Amino acid sequence: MEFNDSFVTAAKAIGAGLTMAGVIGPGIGIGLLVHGALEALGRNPEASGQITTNMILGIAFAEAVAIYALVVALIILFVL
Amino acid sequence: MKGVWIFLGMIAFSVFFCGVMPFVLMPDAGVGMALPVVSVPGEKLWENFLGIKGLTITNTLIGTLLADIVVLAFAFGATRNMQEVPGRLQGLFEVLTDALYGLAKSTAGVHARKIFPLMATIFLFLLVANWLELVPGVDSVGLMHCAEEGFNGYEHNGAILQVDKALDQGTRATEADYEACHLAEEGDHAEDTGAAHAAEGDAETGTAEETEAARDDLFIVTPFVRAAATDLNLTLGLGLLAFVAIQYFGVRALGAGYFAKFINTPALGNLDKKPMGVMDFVVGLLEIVSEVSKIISFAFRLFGNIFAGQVLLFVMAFLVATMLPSIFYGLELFVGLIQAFVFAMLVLVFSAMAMQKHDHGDHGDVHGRDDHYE
Repeated sequence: MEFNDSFVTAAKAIGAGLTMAGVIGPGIGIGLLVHGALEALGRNPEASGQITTNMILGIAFAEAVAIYALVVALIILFVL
Repeated sequence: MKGVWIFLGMIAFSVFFCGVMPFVLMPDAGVGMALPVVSVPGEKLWENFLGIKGLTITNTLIGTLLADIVVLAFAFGATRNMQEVPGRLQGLFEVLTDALYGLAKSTAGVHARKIFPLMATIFLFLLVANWLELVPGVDSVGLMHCAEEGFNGYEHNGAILQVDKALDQGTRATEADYEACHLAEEGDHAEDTGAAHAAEGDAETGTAEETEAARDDLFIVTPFVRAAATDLNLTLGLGLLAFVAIQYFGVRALGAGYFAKFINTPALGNLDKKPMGVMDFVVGLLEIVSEVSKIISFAFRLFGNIFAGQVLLFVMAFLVATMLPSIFYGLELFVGLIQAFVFAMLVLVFSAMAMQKHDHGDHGDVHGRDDHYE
C-alpha cells in the first residue's frame, strides 16, 4: 500500500513533467511571431500600434496551446 | 572606479536580501513563509452561508465581488460629477475609454458602438480582478482551520501559523491528524465531547491533552480573498457570455443569414456550376466546432495564465521570502494587464468578424461566394 501510493505520486510527477513538453511548440511559435512583428516594425515604424495589437493577439492564440498543456498538467497533479 | 563600487553595493544588497535576510535573520526572529495551499477549485469559506442551504461562499467569489465593487466605485466616482475640464479620476477614465474606443473603431468600424460597452466592461473588470492578486493580504490572510488529509499543515501560534525555519514544508496531515484536530477544536466549543467520545470508544481522558501528547494539531490557512480568475467557474462563465454575445451580434447584424456561415446551404445552391460548393458546406460545419471551442479557449487561457501566475508567486515567496518575489510581481502586473486586454480584444475581434458580411475567416477563397450572400 505504501509503495503503491508513492509509485502513483511519482507517476503523476513524471506525467505532469512530460505534459509540459507541450510548451515547446508555442515557444517556437511566439518566437516566430515576435520575430515577424519586430521585422515589420523595423520596416514600418509608423504602424507600430497595429502591429503590436495583432502581435499580442497572435501570441494569445499560440499561448493558448501552452495553456492547454498546463491545464492538463494541473489536472494530472491535483484532480486525478 | 565608481561603477565597481556600485556593482559591489548591488551584490551586497542582493546577498543580504536574497540570502541573509530570508535564510538567517527571519528564521532567527521566528518568522518564515509557510507553503501555501495550491488548490484548483475555489476554497470554501462558509457553507450554507446565512443559513441558506446550498449557498457556499468561496474565496474566489469574494474576489469577484471585490473586483465588482472596485470597478463600480471607480466608475461611479468618475462619472457622478462630470466637468468640462476633467479632474484626475475623470481624466483617467477619459483616457482609458478613449483608447479602448479607438481600438474598437479601428477593428470593428461602424459596429464599434455596439461592441464597445461589453468589451470595455470585460477589460476593466478583468484588469481589476487580475491585479487584485497582487494586493498584500490577498492569498495570505484567511481563516485558519485544521489541515485536511493530504495537505501540509503547521502548528499555530495565536492567529498565525508557526513557521520558524526557512523552506519549512510543514507536516503532511493524515486522516487521523485531521480527526484529532477536529475533535480538539470541537472540544473547545462543546462541553459534552467527553460523552460523545466514550460512545465512540476513545479514551476517557480529555481530548485536548490526548492529541497534544500524540502529535501537535496541524493547521492550514484558507485565504479570505483569492483572485477571481483563478477559479474556472468565472472564466468559463465569461467565456460563455462572450460566446453568446458574439452570436447575438452576428444575428443582430446579418439576421438569419448569419447561420449560413455554419450551415452553408447557399453554397449547395448551384452545384452543377460550382461543384466545390460541397467543400464549402463541409468547411461551414467545421466552423461550428471552431466556434464552440472558442468558449474553452477563452476560459482556459485566462484561467491558466492567472492561476499559473498565482502558483509562481506562491512558490517564489516560499523559496526566497524577500526581494525575489518583487520581480515576479512585476511580471504578474504585466500578465494581468495583457490577459485582460487579450480577452477584451478577442471579444472585439470575434464580434467584428461575426458582424462582417464578406469575411470568411482565414480561408481566402472568396470569389464566387459574394453573389450568394447578397
